[in-house]
This record gives sequence, C-alpha cells and structure tokens, in this order.
Amino acid sequence: MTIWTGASGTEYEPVIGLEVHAQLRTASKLFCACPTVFGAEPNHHCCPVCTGMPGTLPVINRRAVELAIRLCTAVGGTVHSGSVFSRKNYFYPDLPNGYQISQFDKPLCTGGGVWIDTEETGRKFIRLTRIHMENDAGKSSHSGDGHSLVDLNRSGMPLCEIVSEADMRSPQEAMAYMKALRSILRYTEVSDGNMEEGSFRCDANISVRVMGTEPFGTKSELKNINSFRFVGQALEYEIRRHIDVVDSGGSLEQDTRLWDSKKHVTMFMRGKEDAHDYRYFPEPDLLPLDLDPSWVAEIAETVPELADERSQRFQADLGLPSYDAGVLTAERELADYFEEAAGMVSTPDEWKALSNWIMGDVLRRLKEENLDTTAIPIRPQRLVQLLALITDGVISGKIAKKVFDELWEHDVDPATIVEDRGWKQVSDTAAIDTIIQSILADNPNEVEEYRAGKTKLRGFFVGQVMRAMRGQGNPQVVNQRLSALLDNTN
Amino acid sequence: MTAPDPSAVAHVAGLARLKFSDEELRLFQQEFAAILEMVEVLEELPAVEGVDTDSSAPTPMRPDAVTNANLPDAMLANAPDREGYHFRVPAVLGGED
Repeated sequence: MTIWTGASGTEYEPVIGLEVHAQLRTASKLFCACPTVFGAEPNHHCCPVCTGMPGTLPVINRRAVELAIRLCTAVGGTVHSGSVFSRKNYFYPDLPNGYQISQFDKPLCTGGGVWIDTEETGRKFIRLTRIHMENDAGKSSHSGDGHSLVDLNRSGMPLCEIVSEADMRSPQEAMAYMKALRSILRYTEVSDGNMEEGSFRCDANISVRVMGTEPFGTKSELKNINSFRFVGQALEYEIRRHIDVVDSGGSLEQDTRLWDSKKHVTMFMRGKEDAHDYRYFPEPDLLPLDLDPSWVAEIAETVPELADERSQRFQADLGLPSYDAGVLTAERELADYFEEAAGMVSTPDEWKALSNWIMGDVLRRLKEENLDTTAIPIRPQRLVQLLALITDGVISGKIAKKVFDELWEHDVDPATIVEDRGWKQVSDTAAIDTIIQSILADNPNEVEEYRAGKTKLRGFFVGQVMRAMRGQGNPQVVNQRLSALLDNTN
Repeated sequence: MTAPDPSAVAHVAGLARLKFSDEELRLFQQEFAAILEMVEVLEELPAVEGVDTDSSAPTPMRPDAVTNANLPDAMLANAPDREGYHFRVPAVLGGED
C-alpha cells in the first residue's frame, strides 16, 4: 500500500470519486433520429433537433432508456419510475440549445456499486451515488486564427453519467474502478466503451486528508480524462500537489483542472467563484419517464453474468488463480473463448494450461496485430487439440509454439501440421542414444571436465543434443538418457 | 415587486458571456422587473388541479431508428460563417462539461 507522506512526515490519505460518461450503444441519437456512427464529415449527422433550431421538440429513444435501465440493473441500483429530465443551462458554441437535457433532482437510478480487485487492497466495493441520462454536446476545435470550428455530429448523442461515491483511496483503485465499470458496460452491451472515440470519459474529484481523520479536504475536479493511464497519472500528480500545499500549512481553493498529458501536469481551468450556475429547471418538452415495471423486469433478465461473478466462478470451479481469472474475464469474448475451450477438457492442470496459452500467446499475438478479442483466428477446439498433443508427449512445448503460429494462419488439425512438418517429438531411446553418443564423441574435453566435477556443463550437452534433434527430442527422455550415458549410471 | 439587484443582472449577463455598460445594466434591470411583474400576474390566477400534465399518458418514446437524411448544407444555411462543413465562430477557449 502506497503511503503518501508530506515533507513534515505527516501521512495523508487520498479521497477519490469519479464521474464517468458512457455513450449508450444505440443506432440513433437520444432525442432525434440522427445516426450515432463515429467519424462522419462535420455536421453531416445532425438535424433541426440536435442543432437546436427553434420550434423543434425532443422525443426520447426507447432503446437508450432500455440500455440505461440494463446498466442500472447490472450494477444493482434502484431504477426509479418517474425520473425527470431537466435543462442544465450554460452558454458554449458547441451547445446549440444553450442548455443540455440532463437529469438533476430525480435521476433514473440511485445506489448500486461495482466490485474492484487491486493488488494493494484486494476486493473492495465502490458504491454508486446515481446514474442518469443526458445528451452530449458537439465538438469545437480551434482553428488557430482566433476562431473556433464547431461540429455538431456529437450533439445529442445518448449518454449515461455514472457517479460514484468518494470511496476510492488511491489512483490504482480509481483505475481498477474505471476498468470494472467499462467491463460491465461492455459485457451488458450498454456501451462499446471506446475511449479513443469518446464513448467512455471520466471526471475525477480528488482531495486529501490527514490519515485517520474523517472530514474531507478541499477538492479539485479533473475534467475529461479519456484513458486509464491518464487518470492514474493525473491523480498521482494532483494528490502530490494537494499534499505539498496542505503539508506546508497552505490552503487550497476548490477548483477545476485539466490534465496536460504532454507536460504531465494539471492546469488550472476555473475556480469556485466561476463555478457554473446551471439554473436547472424541469425540461418542459419531456414528460417524466414513466416506466412499466414489467418492462424493467424484462430488461433485468437480459443482464448476463458479469466479469466479477464469472471470475469468482472460474476460481471456484476451475481452480484458476485470481490473476488468471481476472485477465480471462476482463473481456466477455475472451471469457467466452476460454470457457468454450475449458468445456472440452476436465482437469485443473488442463484448465490452467489453457489459461496460460490464452493469457500468453493468444493475447500477445492479438496485441502485436492490433486485434481485439473477437478476432482470435484459432478456434477453441484447435487450442485444445494442441494442448492434447503436448500432454500426450507427441510434441514438446517448444514445437507447440511453432504449431500455434501455424494455427494462427490456417485452421487445420494441429496433428496434421505436426505430421506434415515432421515435428513429432522423438522419444525413441535408441535414436536418442545414437545422437548422444556422437555428441559425447565430438566433445571429449567437455566430457572429461564434466566427469571431473564441472556439472554445470550438463546444460551444454542438453543444448547440443536438442540442437542436433532440431528441438524435437523429448526433453524428459533426453535428460534421462544423458544421465545414463554421461554419468554412467546405467 | 422590487427590481432585481444590478449585480444579479450582471451575473446573468456573465453566464451568457455578455458585458454591459452601467447604463445598459440599469435598462435591463428595468426590463427584468417588467418581465417578473408580468409573470406575477399569472400567479394570481386560481390553480386548478390536474390540468398541468396528463399523468395518465405514457411517456412518448420513439423506436431506435435512423430516419434523418444528411442535410449538412441545410444545417449550415443560417450559419453566420462557415469553414468547409464546420460552423466558424469567435474562439472560445477553455472546455465545458
């Protein structure tokens, strides 16, 4: 556990709460029938409603409501019928209405929470305050000649804002929370969680207090951070900054800051006196969101087994270590892949071996080729067949890597690959003996030195034999025969 | 009804990113007062139960379908200025929510 200490030696505890904006996975926007597809030409995906033309009226997207309810159910929150949309008023060029349609005093969902697991603190429940629905603003970029360019394609995109309690005590916990939340969003197909495209963004509230004390310190809000790494870095920086001020007897002003990922500093954006006065009031163009309880129950049925639950099950039923279970269940598709393969074998050793292959070679290749977990070219069945070849002693672990590479390119029975390439492991004692004897004959000096007590030369002999056998010698048999012939213990 | 405080008028102007001279602030103070007085008249009307919203009507929702055509030129038709298909506006720095 990281201990945060000021120059005076006083120990401090960070207190962190996060607000995450997740884009709901719908085809059309929240209040109009414009597409949500990313990457269109500027202002090609907007209409009179999402550009705030006078006289237009919002009509809510049923699917967006459904997805938001599914998320609320997945995190164990209470879904409220009669939640109310409110106008959050502020002026900015990318907000054509002059207000955002959000939810204020009557949100869709309250309560619930997310389990996280960190090396430092183990399993911990992070409580959620609320989840509400709102529409996104457009995007402004700066032209450099004193003007801003506004693209309203994003304007009106359906978002869920997920607000946590200030339950996190380290940047590691904050990152673990974001990952757990993103995993839930992806498992439930509520959001694609794509951070590069802005479908998953985070604001972090951070303060510090003297270890062992109750009251919260003055907080800073870090806006719009769009990567796990940046959240970690920005929080580390900000915790240190707060401690330095407080520890030297200074006082902090509540403020809002931006993380500069190039300079690795947070920059002051606005103080408390400039804090927004949003003048919320109920959106007169939308009725309260009445929800039929049977519809809510129906939606709750669609929540699949989530990563945390699945990870616990992999540990309990398959005997996997918690680390393995965590890696395998982080993405639903990867967990599905593992589970399909795991269903074809039946011992903890085999399950662990499958886990090793997936966490190692499969994930490595995916990363190298910039593929996601939906795109594993090797069918689970093939991986199990490969594993059987190793278990049965047909091929060595080393040759198995070569077969794996072949399988990545072609969907064929690994036994056929081994047969065609002549990669079968040689376990025949007579054949191995012949090779060992010729190696011993070629290296009389080493043999003499070894027998005189320089036993570390053993590795040299193993290497020579394996090289002569092009890696296909059965390591166990080679070792056994080497002992027999070299140590004369036969 | 007392007229709103000049600082309240300045505050609302600030939220709208507008700056006014003292003379203009006095003018808007009077106009604010007139608007508030007009609204007060409405409050004198007797309230009738059940006419504000029809609570029996379900919330209208639409299916998740894309039916809007791309009309970028129509959307930009009233833009004070444009650059390609962007709206071009005076620079505002510092992000928002």
